[in-house]
Amino acid sequence: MAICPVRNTLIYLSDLILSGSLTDPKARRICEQILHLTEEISEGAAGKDHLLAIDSLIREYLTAADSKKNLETGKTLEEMFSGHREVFESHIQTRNCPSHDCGKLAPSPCQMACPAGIDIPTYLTLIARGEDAKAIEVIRRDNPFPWVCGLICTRPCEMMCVRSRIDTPVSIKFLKAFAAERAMSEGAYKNPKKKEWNGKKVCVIGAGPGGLTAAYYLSLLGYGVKIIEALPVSGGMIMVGIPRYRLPREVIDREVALIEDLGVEISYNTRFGRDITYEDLKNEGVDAFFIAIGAHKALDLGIKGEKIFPKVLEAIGFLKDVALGNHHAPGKQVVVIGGGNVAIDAARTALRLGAEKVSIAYRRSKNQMPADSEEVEQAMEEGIEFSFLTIPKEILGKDGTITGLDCIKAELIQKEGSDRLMPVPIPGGDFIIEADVVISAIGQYVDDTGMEAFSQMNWTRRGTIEVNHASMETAMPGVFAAGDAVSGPATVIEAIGSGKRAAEAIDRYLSHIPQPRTPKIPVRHHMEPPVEMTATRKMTLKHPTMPMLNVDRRRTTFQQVELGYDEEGVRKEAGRCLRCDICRRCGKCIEVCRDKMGIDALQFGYMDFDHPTETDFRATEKKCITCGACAANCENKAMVLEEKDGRRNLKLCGTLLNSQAIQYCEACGAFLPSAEYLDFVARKTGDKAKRAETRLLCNDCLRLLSAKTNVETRPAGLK
Amino acid sequence: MQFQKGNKIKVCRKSEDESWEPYMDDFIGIHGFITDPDTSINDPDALIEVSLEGKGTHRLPQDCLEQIN
Amino acid sequence: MSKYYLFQDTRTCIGCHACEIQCKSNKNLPRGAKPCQIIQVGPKMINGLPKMSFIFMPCYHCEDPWCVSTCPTGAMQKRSSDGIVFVDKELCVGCKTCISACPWGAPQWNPETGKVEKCDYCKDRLDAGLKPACVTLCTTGCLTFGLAEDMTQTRRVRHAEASASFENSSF
Repeated sequence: MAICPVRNTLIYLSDLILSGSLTDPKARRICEQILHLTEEISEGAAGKDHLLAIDSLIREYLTAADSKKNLETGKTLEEMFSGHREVFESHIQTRNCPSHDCGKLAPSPCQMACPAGIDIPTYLTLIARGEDAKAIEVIRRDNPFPWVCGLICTRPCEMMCVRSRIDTPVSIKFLKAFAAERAMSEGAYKNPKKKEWNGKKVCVIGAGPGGLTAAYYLSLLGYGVKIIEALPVSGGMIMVGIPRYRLPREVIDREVALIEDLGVEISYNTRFGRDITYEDLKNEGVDAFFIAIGAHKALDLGIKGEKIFPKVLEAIGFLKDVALGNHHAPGKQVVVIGGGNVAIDAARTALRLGAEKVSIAYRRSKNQMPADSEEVEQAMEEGIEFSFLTIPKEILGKDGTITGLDCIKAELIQKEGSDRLMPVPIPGGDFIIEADVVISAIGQYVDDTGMEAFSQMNWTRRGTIEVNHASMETAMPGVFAAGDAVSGPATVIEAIGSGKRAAEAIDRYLSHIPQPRTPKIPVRHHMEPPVEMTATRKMTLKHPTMPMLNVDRRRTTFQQVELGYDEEGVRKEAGRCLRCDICRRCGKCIEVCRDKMGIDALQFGYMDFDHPTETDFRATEKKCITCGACAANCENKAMVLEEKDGRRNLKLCGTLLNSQAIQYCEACGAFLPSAEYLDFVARKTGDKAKRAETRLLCNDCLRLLSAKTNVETRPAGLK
Repeated sequence: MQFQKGNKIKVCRKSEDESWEPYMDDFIGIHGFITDPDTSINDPDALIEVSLEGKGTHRLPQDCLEQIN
Repeated sequence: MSKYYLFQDTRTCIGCHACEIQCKSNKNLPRGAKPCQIIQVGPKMINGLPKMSFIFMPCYHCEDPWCVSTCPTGAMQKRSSDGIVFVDKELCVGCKTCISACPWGAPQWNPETGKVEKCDYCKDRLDAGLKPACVTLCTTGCLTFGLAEDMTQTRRVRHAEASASFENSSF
């Protein structure tokens, strides 16, 4: 047992729930709620009302207790919370566990980086072992769209991947897509069991990633969910914003279908406030609203000619039209204005529709482009022209037809008092890009039409819905919001993360449980044993290259560009994971081996966060004597010394660092250290160690022997 | 300040922006990385996505961040 | 050698292991680690009778201990004031080299802490003016602890008494 009472209570409650001994559903529900609140206390995410809520849950439990056993459990819980009240309080106030017990399950950097908090090391391990369906199950605990995200996620996880300090980050994103595709094709991609309908109804406005995610988790929790969608399709921006060559429609449809299978009802072509009103829904018995309307309105360019020509398009509208089936080329010569992912998407889409020449005009240089570098590269490969340091001035044309875009060349200058490089026009740098279509992609904002019904809700100066981010609650009770509608244009995974957070908060709101003070820190659910492999394999596994569709086809069709790794590549790639959920890279092993033992066998340069040096797992066996001091000092048991099949093996998260032959006690056969280890001892004791006994004996046998010698050599009178 | 993806940053102060919430006070002094800067127009006023050591991933106003090496 | 001597009168010892229990509970040790141990030798037939001895095996606190010279971290030390050989737990990293180096099997492994335990004559108790834990509750009083010079005297007296007793007397 841990020293920390909070941790002990957590262990007690989870054992209680897992043991299946709580047969009364009410008792079980109360215990689950207490567990949930205690988890937040342990993570430092609890507010001041948590203990009061727990107290009242325990009272409820005791009142409802119908058996002696339940009564005892209730009493035990009561004692746990009252007996160490001050420790619980200090966890809430200081968000610190003095005994560090509550930090033991600290998530890996990749999981912490994921806005949805997916347990990445666990699912990578499952994928490495070929357990794709199980991996999908793990992902869907935090994200109902593993396939979609496997193809288009902005992957902050990979940016934080510790493996990149050795060579390149693990290709976390795509491995998800592979597992989802494989599980789907095998019919093993299934929904978890949902709870019985609890009689409550939630209305979700917008069938985008945020809305669908909230719908998924709410219906699993037993809520009736109705989604209102203005478009004729579901998916929101992932359907109408992301082009098909990056994300095939079938992928979205299959994952949305699974959410519909849970009983989620989606009303298409229904605009909130026009086709259905707040009152209509209230009358239908909706208990809570969740607004996930995204940010679908484009910003104006604010240049001359913008409002005159019909062929001045905004990227979001253009992409939406194409996604909904309009496959006519917008024109022959297309100029896209902007430097973000939407600009690239619009340009590549225009090219695929048959535009002869497509260029992108961007105010700054290539390095400052906010778009994904892979996207920019792929666009260049396809023949999109880039005109950097280009400020659009005026759209030229006559009789309603565009003839070109008048631009001015800029240079980047650091203005006084600012550390930001600003594009400043070069005098006389005017030039014209010939074009018959101009597409603007300079950002979107939230379209608030129809939202008047939520009168008590506040809007920020950025035109987004104001919420408390811990719970995604708006100022209007029972109304929650998330996704781009709250953050402004952001990423899919953020919308998913905030949708999940909102679902949890709506559940709390409707169960009268207080909301957390801070957004939940990702939590590990369990620990998968690591994949075992040799140090050489761990070091030499290389990131596979992504096979791509040939450029001719990329220029002419909407076929998927990235074709995906083959199975062997996927399993190997998943095996590159360092399991940072087990090894927290505290560096104690290195310190003990180098500074205390004076051996210095561990070359784990990647563990130094700020100044990584060279890493080579293969180097360990050169100096290591398998003394096990590193393992004895590893708090998380990431480093282990095992004795198996006559060998002493040193392993770090499953990677075999060294293996030496075990020696045996010549009297009793007990395990003794390796010859290399005994050499080390002999070198230290030097010539002093000329023992009378030449046999190799274990500790116990040595004691026995000296006791015997003691008796045998005693003077006769004392025997 | 213009942030780019992958920049190492520190939350150096409380932001004056309305989007700053009390729980964000816990972030002051913490290091992290920019995971998603403003993806369309490099707007210095936009909220940008940062992944903070031990605190998860959040969208913060840019005036509370400073780049570190 | 340390300036102390822990004398066991093997004739009086009945092998009750109370010393081991006292030692372990004083040091709060889990299963396995036995800084002192009673080792049973025999039974052997001597003059037609089965006889056995119980030998008390603590640490001998050697003059030039191999455990101290082998310890890479300086955790195993000899106290200069009285020669007690002890482990500084703060410095011990659990490499077990002392265990391999000791010819008498004195250093013991504590699997709970991942560090080495050994007999240090309960130096904290000595410093407080008390005797080592093993000695205090010895059922038969066969264990005596004191300064080495006094203990040789005890041993001599005992030996003389034994030699002069009527049963063993040669006259």
